[in-house]
Amino acid sequence: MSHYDFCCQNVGRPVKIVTHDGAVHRGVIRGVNRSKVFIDPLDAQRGIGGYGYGFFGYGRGLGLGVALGAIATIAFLPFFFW
Amino acid sequence: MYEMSSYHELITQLGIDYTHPGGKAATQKWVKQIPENLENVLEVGCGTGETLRNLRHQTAAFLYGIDSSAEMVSKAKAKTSHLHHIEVMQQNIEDLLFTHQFFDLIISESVLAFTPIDNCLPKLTNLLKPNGQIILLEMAKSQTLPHIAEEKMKIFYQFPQLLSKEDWLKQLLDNGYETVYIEKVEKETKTPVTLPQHLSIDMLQTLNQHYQFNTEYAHDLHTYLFIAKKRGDTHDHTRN
Repeated sequence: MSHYDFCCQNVGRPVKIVTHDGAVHRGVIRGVNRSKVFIDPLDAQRGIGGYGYGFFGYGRGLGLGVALGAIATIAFLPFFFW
Repeated sequence: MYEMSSYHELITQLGIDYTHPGGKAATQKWVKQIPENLENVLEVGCGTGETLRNLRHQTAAFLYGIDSSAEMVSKAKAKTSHLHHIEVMQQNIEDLLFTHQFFDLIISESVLAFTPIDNCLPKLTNLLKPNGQIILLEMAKSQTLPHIAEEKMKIFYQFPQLLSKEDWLKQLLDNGYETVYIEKVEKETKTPVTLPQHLSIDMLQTLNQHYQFNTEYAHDLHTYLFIAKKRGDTHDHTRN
């Protein structure tokens, strides 16, 4: 399955994306187009003690865009609720 | 500074099924073990009603579900309306409207941990028949959890207390349960969760905070399944 197809089928799901340059992105898939997948990041910098500044510099509703061509692996992020 | 939404608001707004550790697999683990010939079963914090639906296939008992959230109650009602002998009600665990020794089985899937246990467990126990069972699927801290993390989590999740496995066991024994079965349960769910579109920034922030806590303290927080039987009448000295 192409990364594009995977992303289309899994909108709303938390994933871990590793790009060819070794960068790791964790977040919830919000949307996808032919060139990019957009995620709402789950990011430690905004985590514990990290709030209080201009949260989500990506623009609301868009999320962080990751080029599909840059993706090495994409997998579901283990998740649960208490 | 952003006002973070509460974890409870997040769970309510997500409205997803099995919002407890281990998800559906954890529910199925105990559902298959419930005793036969039950008359009345109560699930506290029934959420969207998925566990009630699972129970329906397993027992002919009358099933009662309560939840403190009106939104969850209406979801659970809609989901179970086609099933027989199920009643879902908006009730708070702290002022339950059932009679003494009414239930054969009471279930809490990650609900009791969010309540003042010293107050709520005796109330639930009072509703159980002698030899009735309680099933708890609950969070337990290990001794390695840093104190500061525990304090932060109490604030974030609004936990009145955070118990260890031993603390849970003591609570059960002190409340007159015997033959307590304990099993560690995998927290993470096998099936990927699907979150709704259009979560507000507040909600995403709360979701992220939740994720960060559980990534950072993954090895210090566990989930246990407790199945405990209330002592029978012959041992119940309060009734002599």
